[in-house]
Amino acid sequence: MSEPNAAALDQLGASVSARRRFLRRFLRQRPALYALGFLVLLALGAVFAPWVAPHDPLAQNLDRVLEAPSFDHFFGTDELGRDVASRTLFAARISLLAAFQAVVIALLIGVPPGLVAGLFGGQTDNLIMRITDALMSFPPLILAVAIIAVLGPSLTNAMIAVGILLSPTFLRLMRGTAMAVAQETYVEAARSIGCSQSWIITRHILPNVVSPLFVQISVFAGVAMLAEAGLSFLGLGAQPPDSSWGAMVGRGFRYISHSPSLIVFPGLAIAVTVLAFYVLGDGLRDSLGREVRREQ
Amino acid sequence: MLAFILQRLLALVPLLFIVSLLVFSLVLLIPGDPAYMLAGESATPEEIAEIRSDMGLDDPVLLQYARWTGGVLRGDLGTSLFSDQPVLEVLLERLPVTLSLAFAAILVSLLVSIPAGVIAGTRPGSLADRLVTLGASTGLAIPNFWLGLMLILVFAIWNGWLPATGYVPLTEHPGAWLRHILLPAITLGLSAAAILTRQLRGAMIDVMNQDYIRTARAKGLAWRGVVLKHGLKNAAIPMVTILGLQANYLLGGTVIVEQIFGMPGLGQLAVASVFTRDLPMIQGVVIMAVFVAVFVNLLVDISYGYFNPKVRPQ
Repeated sequence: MSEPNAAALDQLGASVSARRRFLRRFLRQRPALYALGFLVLLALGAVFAPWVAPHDPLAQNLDRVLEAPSFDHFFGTDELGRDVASRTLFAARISLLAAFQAVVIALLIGVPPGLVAGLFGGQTDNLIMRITDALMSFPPLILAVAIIAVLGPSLTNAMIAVGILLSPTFLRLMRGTAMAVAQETYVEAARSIGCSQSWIITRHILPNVVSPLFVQISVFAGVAMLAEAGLSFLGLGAQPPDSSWGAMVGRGFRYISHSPSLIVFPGLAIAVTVLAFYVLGDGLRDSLGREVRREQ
Repeated sequence: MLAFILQRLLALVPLLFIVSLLVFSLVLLIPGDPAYMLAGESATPEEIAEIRSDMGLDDPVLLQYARWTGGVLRGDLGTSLFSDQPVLEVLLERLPVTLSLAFAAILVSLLVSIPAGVIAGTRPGSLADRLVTLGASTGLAIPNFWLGLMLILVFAIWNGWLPATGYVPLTEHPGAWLRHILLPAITLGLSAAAILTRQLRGAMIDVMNQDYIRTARAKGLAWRGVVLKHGLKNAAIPMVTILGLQANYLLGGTVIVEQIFGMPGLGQLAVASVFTRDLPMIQGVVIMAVFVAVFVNLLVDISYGYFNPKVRPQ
């Protein structure tokens, strides 16, 4: 297949310099950089948890149950005498992975139909948007609970449910961008010289949607983490022996009057991590060019 | 105005049709034999067969859908597999709890967000503004179940000022209702407050830069009057829309909040029904929740048309 190289190079050149501008603006966003640093550290801590954690997260010590934080156990011990700090670190693996899973599912469900709706318009668009509207009229957590009821309580099923809930936003974002870009003169030009639909999608539409998509991904990683925490808290997400931060809070609930530290620390971990995702998302949004930001 | 309302009502027909399809198809999503799964692992073949014939699972899918929708339209949401009570009866028993929780949460969110948004939006960049913005971001990031537990810890366990769990109907004892609803409403309302605050702050900044504000100031009106009468009144219009969107989230949030505070509402019923595999009950909860959400959004749309004549159809 012979593709028009000049047009492609032009577009490529424009997107490279836009990317450089984006990076330069992003590097000036101090809070977003801190947030990114925190998330990277957290991810590293989760990956290397077996080496970093002060104790074995599963080692029980029935002589030292429900202890308050001490030098030995920074976050105290749980009802089986396990070290809460180590368990919190290990739970980061599940919590981060679950958020990632939900966002990927949402992208897989949302992006292709959004692209189709934006490019083809007409009846296809109409149908897809009607289904999206219907999906968005459900109170989110109630729909998630219903989906889990059908599929059975497990972390993966919970994240499928959360992915379904998040997908309409990705769909709308894709559709909006695809529609706007399809009107551009350079796309018309590309089409008129015989570029294939897939060439137009990969060369013109996807590069334009990447940055706003990253903003949404960052924010939704936070939203997905909150949703996972809530569902696991209810016992509908992570199942023992796996433990996420939300599941830890759920179990600690029973001992709330005796050892509040059981719920305080995993809860703080959720709040700080979610805040980091949001701040990162805000920073990414502020780094986008003015023209893109207006469409957000 | 009437034409506008009618148009909105008509637009709901296809929406509710698709919603009904989605809720019905929950049965189809069940992996394997639905009757087997719904009956539970210890069920006898007779019990499984009974569920199958009760729910008409052997009929063609289209017939099942038609029967189910017909029932829903007549107000028959089926029978609970767990308690054998009519689903609608159970839902109507629990609806007031959820509605009063959601309503109280909206009240909390408005009481927090209006002063916070006005203070931050009239003095952008000030210390107060930065504190409000930080508070709003934190409010969005804190999981509401965790906030609820912290409130229980401080106000119920340590100080004993408010009850940790339970619910008293408003009609039975307004004072006791308030004491029971206060912590759950704060738990549920604060994240909505955070979103509304951000929205109102942005709108206030925009509005306060308008010429008519400068004119009002220039002709010597007091700052307070200008902010409240000219600023807030105009900035509040987009807030109505956000409030409508929040209604969905608040209804969803009741699932967790009712569980923590032991309130016998729809959300608690939904979670309990997952563990009892009571699918008709879950479908009922979802239908009821969508119905409430759609109704609230209809009200928001109509009120929006009332506040802002520009969106009315010509």
